[in-house]
Amino acid sequence: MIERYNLFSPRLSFSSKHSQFNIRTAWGLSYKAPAMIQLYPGRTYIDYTNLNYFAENPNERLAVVTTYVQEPTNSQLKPNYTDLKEIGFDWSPSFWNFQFTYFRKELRRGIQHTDELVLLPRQGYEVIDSPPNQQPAVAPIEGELTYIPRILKVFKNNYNVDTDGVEFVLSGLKIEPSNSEVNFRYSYLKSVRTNLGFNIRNPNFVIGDNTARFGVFENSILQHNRSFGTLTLIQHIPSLRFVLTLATEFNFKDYRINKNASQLPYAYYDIDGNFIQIPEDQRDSEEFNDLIQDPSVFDPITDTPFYTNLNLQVRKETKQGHSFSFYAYNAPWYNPEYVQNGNTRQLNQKLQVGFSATILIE
Amino acid sequence: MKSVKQTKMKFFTTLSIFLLAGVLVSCSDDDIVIILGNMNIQLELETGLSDIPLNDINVQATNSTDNSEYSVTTDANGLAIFENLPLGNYDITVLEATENYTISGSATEISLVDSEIVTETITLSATNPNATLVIKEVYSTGGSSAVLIRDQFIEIFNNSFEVIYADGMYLANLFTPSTDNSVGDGLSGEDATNNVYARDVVQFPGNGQDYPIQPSSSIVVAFNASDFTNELLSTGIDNTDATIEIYSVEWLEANGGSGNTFFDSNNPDIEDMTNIYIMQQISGFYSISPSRPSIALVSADASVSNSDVVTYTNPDITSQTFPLVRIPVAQVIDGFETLESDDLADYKVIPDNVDAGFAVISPDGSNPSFSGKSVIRKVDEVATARFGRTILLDTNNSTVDFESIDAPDKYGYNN
Repeated sequence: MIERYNLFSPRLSFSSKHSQFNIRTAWGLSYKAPAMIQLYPGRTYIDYTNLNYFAENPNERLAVVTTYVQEPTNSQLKPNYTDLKEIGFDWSPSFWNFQFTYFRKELRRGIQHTDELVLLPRQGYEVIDSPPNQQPAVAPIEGELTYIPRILKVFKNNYNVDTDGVEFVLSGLKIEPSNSEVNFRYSYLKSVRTNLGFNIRNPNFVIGDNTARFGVFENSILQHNRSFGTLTLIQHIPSLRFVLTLATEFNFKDYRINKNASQLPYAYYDIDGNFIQIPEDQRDSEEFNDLIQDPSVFDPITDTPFYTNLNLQVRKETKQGHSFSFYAYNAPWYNPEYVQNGNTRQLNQKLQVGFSATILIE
Repeated sequence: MKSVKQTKMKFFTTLSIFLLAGVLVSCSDDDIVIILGNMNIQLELETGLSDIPLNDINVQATNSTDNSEYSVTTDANGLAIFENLPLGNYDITVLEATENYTISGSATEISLVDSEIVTETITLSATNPNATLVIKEVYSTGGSSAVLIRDQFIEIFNNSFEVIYADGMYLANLFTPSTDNSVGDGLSGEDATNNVYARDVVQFPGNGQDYPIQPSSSIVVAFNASDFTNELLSTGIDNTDATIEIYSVEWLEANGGSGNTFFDSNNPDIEDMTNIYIMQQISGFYSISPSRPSIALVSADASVSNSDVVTYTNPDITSQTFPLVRIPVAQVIDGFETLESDDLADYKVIPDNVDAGFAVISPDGSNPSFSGKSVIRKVDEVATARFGRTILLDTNNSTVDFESIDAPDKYGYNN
């Protein structure tokens, strides 16, 4: 009970200032209740055919279709919690500010989709009367009840993420003669994501009747390393009450690797929904080649090359205190491309522009 | 009183008379054995046959008493003359095989009872050697942008002179790489010259004699045995006259896939092919490529199991694989291949020993999809004239055997 409703989020922090240095450390525990969309994610509709009756006369055709409505209420979901530890220092001489922070964040009981195999009953129907120019009369066929296997996505508290991060900020570096200011921020993040839920997949192929099997696979552990920074130049022109901001994003590294990802199933569900373990030494055998996954179901490694992105913002103030600004993210419309696993991918695909005005009414 | 010498003379005289009489009696028996007869066998062709010469054909007579055999070759008029045959009953057989035809005929218990000349006429029938089922037409393009590809069909023709039953035979939709690669490029360790590789397979149901194909007639496998002639003012075709149709909605749904009732309708009056194999990547419905269909008609002796499934890896995108059914060419009765244009010959998927060429649906380069064009096997004019019934060209080369036509000609060759 406490586990489910505990949203107590303590946080302790400590700092010690010595002249231009400030040392800080903190620890916090935060809980996050499941979102409404996770508790009540909305319905899932699954259609399947009971009877597909064709007649040459379109007025005499009829299809009997069952729509299975899954309306999940995930009241069993618990809040996730995050344990955050950080340590850092600030150095603030007269000409700049420098901040350095290391942190470790551990997310537990994260809410994530997982697979579930369900067998949906399908009642067979037959035509019992087919009057001319009308749809036929149909009736269930006694004893003809079969089951339709389907893989559903359900929310579970099965997601853990461990993140280590380093961040430093260099700010307030001013060039007085030109009224310019330079800031730089750099971050390095390494996260490891683990999904403890089921990973069920349709067979690659089906041979004949009643042979379909649904492979159960280990979820891979995703490691994500990201290194990026932003150099910002702010140019003031006081006589014109004009501020130009140029920000350049440096994307040094964006690297993802799926560890322990396996194309081989460790178990399967048969067409009747029975869970059957596969001995480890048989998982790559020909007998299970309907289950062995195509490597394209996951990219083993995604490695984005270094690229930059330039953002622009101009701001104009009037004597009366009104201000007008315009911004353009990815202003030069720079779209570098790279090839990953045989596919050409494009970066910086978004161009955003905006305008804002602030009118001061006295 | 008679002397001893006189007595001896009388004895020898009497003995000589008996011996002479014995010699005369023996000479009379030899004259009966040497009586023989002559037999003339006139060959003629069965009505409808032509262009089959009857000279130099071996005719064999077998004595039904002692099984002694006599052979004679016909003259320029198809006449075989057996001279000096021992009297008795004879069975006559004619069997002559050439590259283009086999002729045969027989007569039994022809009596040769006296020294008269017996004349018998034997009517010869002819068959097309090695003739079997062939793919007569593949209509893949679809009738219009409204019908799309729903009115596709495959027609199978019996080129032989016997009824052949399609029961248990397979139709295999062969895999064609999406990029400019040969199918063997993505099949490591596979013998692509002696196998074909299918992405989906259906099978004729039946108990052995449910799907007869009469000589010089055809059956049609429709992807939907529906009437598309009036649908949405479109120009589809009427497939309600199909022999059998392909329907997979419920089968796919029962195996975790999704059916598609728009592309895959079911005519309850038409039997369905048995669903044998489908890749889950193409789950939804069976169809063949509108612009590049490649089909194999496979013997009922074949089977499909997990051990027949091999993995094709896209040479350009190695993470992309396709599970395909391997079918030995020895089990392929007939194969048919198309390519988009003549310059793509390097990317054929059917080995030359099954189909040495390929057809092109749109030789003018226009887009074949939804054009209503079809690809049909040509008539073998020489064989058709010779046998008096429609025989289709079958050189195991689709380039030679097929032609593109502007509209399908379903059952167009049935006599």
